[in-house]
Amino acid sequence: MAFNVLVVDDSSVMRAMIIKTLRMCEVDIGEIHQAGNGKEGLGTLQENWIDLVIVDINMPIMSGLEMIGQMEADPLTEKIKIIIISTEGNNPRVEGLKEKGVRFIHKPFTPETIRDVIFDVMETSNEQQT
Amino acid sequence: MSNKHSEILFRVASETLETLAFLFSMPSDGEMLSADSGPAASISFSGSPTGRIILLISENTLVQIAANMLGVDEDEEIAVVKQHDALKEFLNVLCGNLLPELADEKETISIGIPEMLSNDELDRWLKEKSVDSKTTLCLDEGQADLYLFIEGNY
Ligand SMILES: [Mg+2]
Repeated sequence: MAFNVLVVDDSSVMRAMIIKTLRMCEVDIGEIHQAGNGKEGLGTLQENWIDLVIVDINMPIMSGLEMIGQMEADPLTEKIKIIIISTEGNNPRVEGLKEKGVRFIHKPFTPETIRDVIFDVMETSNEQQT
Repeated sequence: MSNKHSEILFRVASETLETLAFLFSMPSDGEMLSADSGPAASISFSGSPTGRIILLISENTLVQIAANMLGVDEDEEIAVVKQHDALKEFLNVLCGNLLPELADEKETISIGIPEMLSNDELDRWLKEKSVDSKTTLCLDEGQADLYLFIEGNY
């Protein structure tokens, strides 16, 4: 099953880096959508079927944590897989999210780290489906 | 000026550059860049401590960083907005990795949104504020100067 991915980061260069790495992973990625902040990201979720959200924390207009909060509060988006890619690993809110199964990738990352986490997330998701 | 902070600043910046853009840098005892010699960006942080990091960079070095982050050839033209985006994101990642080393690990420090600085603004910062520490990263085609400002005694 192909995974549709949404990449949310205020840096277009960082989004390009993440997307490039996604394409290099030998996994079945379907559509890749992009957004520059949490608000845009939520808008994209309303209009598209997304299986995985890769989201930055520090963004203008709406931060990644706020976006995740709104996703959790909406039955339509609460089950979507989330990977946070950020420098802010020691944030207590991030710790709480990790306990709930949200994955965290520290910036700067190596392509291998992204690949491993993506593999892992997709594998657990496939297991849950079968 | 804090030598200890300068060392941390250099180490975190060079490690960040290495992972983010596959570029190796050396320390330098030479001159810092003058305020008008290239683009500059700034990021603020607040908590304990509160302050700001300013990054001033040679144009060629920035092109190299942006090209490597994007995975394109250096001869390929990269729009100035993209170059500035790369500079701001480098600074953002650097700041996020630097703060846990300066502060208590458990301390939550909020990081601002990185922004470009005009020559005048940069000039004002360098002339009017006292810098906590600074360092230079020497690369093949130029250099990157970093200034750390911290409010109060830290
Ligand atoms: Mg960001």
